[in-house]
Amino acid sequence: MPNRYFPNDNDAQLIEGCVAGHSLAQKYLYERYFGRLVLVAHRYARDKQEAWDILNQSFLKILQSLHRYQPTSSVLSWMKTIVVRTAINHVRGNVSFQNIEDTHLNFEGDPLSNEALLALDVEYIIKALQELPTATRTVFSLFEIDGYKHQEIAEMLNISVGTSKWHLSEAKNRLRKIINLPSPTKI
Amino acid sequence: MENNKKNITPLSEKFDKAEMPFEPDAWAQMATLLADNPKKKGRFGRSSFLLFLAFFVGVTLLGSWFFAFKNNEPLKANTSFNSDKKQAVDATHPELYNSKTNEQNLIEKTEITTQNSSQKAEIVAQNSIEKGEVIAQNRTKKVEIIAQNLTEKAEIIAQNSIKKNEITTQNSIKEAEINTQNSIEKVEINIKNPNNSRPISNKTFNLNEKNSAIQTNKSTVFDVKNDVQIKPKSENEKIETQVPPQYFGSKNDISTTETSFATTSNSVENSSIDAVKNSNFIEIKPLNRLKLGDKTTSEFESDTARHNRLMSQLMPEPKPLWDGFKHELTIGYGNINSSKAFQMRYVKRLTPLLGLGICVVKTNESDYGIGLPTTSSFDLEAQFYIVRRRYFELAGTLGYGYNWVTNFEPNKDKTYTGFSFGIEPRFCLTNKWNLGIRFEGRYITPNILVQVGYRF
Repeated sequence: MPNRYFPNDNDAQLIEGCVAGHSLAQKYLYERYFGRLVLVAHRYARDKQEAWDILNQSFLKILQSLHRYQPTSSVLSWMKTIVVRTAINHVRGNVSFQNIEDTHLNFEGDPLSNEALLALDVEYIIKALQELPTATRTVFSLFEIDGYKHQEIAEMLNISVGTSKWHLSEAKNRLRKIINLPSPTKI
Repeated sequence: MENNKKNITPLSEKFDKAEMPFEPDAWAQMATLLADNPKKKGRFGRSSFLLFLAFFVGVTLLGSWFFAFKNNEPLKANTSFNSDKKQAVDATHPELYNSKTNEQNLIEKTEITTQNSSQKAEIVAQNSIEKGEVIAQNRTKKVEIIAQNLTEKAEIIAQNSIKKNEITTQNSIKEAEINTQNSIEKVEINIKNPNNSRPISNKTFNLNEKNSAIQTNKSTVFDVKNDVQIKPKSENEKIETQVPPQYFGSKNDISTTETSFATTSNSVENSSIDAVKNSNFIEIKPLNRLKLGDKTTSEFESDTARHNRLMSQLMPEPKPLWDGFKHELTIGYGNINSSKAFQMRYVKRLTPLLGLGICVVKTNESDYGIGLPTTSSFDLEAQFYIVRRRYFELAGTLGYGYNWVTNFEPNKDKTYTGFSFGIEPRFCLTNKWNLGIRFEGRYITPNILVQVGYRF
């Protein structure tokens, strides 16, 4: 095990250093995956500081769990999973998700198409998501970006499937209005 | 790890390709978070370390107290100066290279009993000692009684292999007595002040066998008036003692057989000895200035019985060899907190139960450290060390081992080889702990234990 670590060390070397408690290896691993992981955190946070909080809590769990990491999957996807779960726990701790009666569900409006979102830069999408209510933003991120199904989202957030669908519809309606704004400020 | 992404959507692909720039402030917050959560990094927390530290200190203090209690009497025996009725020094243990008592005043009897390996047994009596006695059985190189004033009797009883017996008197010794059985090379009595008003009244040599050196001892001084005549004719032959009556009491009847010896001391007003046939030695000890009828011959012990009694009184049970060695040197290779390390350790045995020393470690990561190891005679070992890495780490081990030694005979002046097997949990204040195993080859002498070992 090396005593000194460098930014260009491979993942295995940095992970080994992190397991041994070397703070330099921890910093380089954090720096290497910050850009990807903070983007995950931003999808569930209201602002940049909350995204950093989610990311740092996630990275702490990552460091504590690195000795259990098996390199059968990429370390990035493994860390993303931890960030998503940390973000969900964070959101559930701050927001109470209320079920909406099926009779009151209203899917009216002109939902935003994915093509319209794909035409935007990621930073603009993040900025638009932060304009949404927390519950609505969470369901949209889980369904449209992280690829979970409504049944899984309902179980994760302890809501009904109909409520999950309503939040997704509500998110698209609101985003359509938000992205029609002339020029969102850069985050 | 299972990938929990269920479906790949066009939006997810877009996000996967995106990346935000690194924010140093985010890392600063992360570093603060890490500093606030040091305990979660390892399984062995600070409280556990403090608990172990308290346990170690407790064991150390308990061991020291136990040893001090156990060995109270031998430690006390060498440091008496006044008013002792009887001073006994146990010089049987091989640790006692030089057995010596310094008696200044009012000692009625000073006695040193040596069994093995004492290089020198010495009694220095300045005033008023009534009897100074050295009983040396084996391999004592020199037995010496130095009496300056008013010693009534100085006695050396040597069974085997004493190279030199010496009684040096300055004034007023009444009696100098050397009783030897085997192989004495030199017997010497030096009278420095023969014109003193209390000259030596009785000098007695009792020789069993092979004491031909006596006959050619040129340094023996016999220039005191009224010397006892010493006539060792040949091996195993009766030695006649002629005692001038004016220096004894009113009556002194001695009857001996051909194989018995009688030694009469001074200041006996009336003594009677009926020596049993085939007895090697019968001695009257006039400690209390016997009066007529006070003692009969049946109350006197034979020399062998007397030795056995003194030995049983003065000698403790044979101690294991572990109590003997004073130094412990270990050269080992193993790991310290998951880093391969070379270690040299020296332990000075403070007591037979407890040793304290210093260790130096050098790891393969250019780290180095210094430690404080301690071991006990039953192979309980604790060790603290500080390793310099990016920051100093305080770490330690606590191990218990089993010793296996070939041909082990307790309390013998021999060397042994063997090995030790130990299990030891190792911990680190800033890292995780692990369970280690050690193997050590051992070379043991009565004074030093050398170990070469491997730990993993």
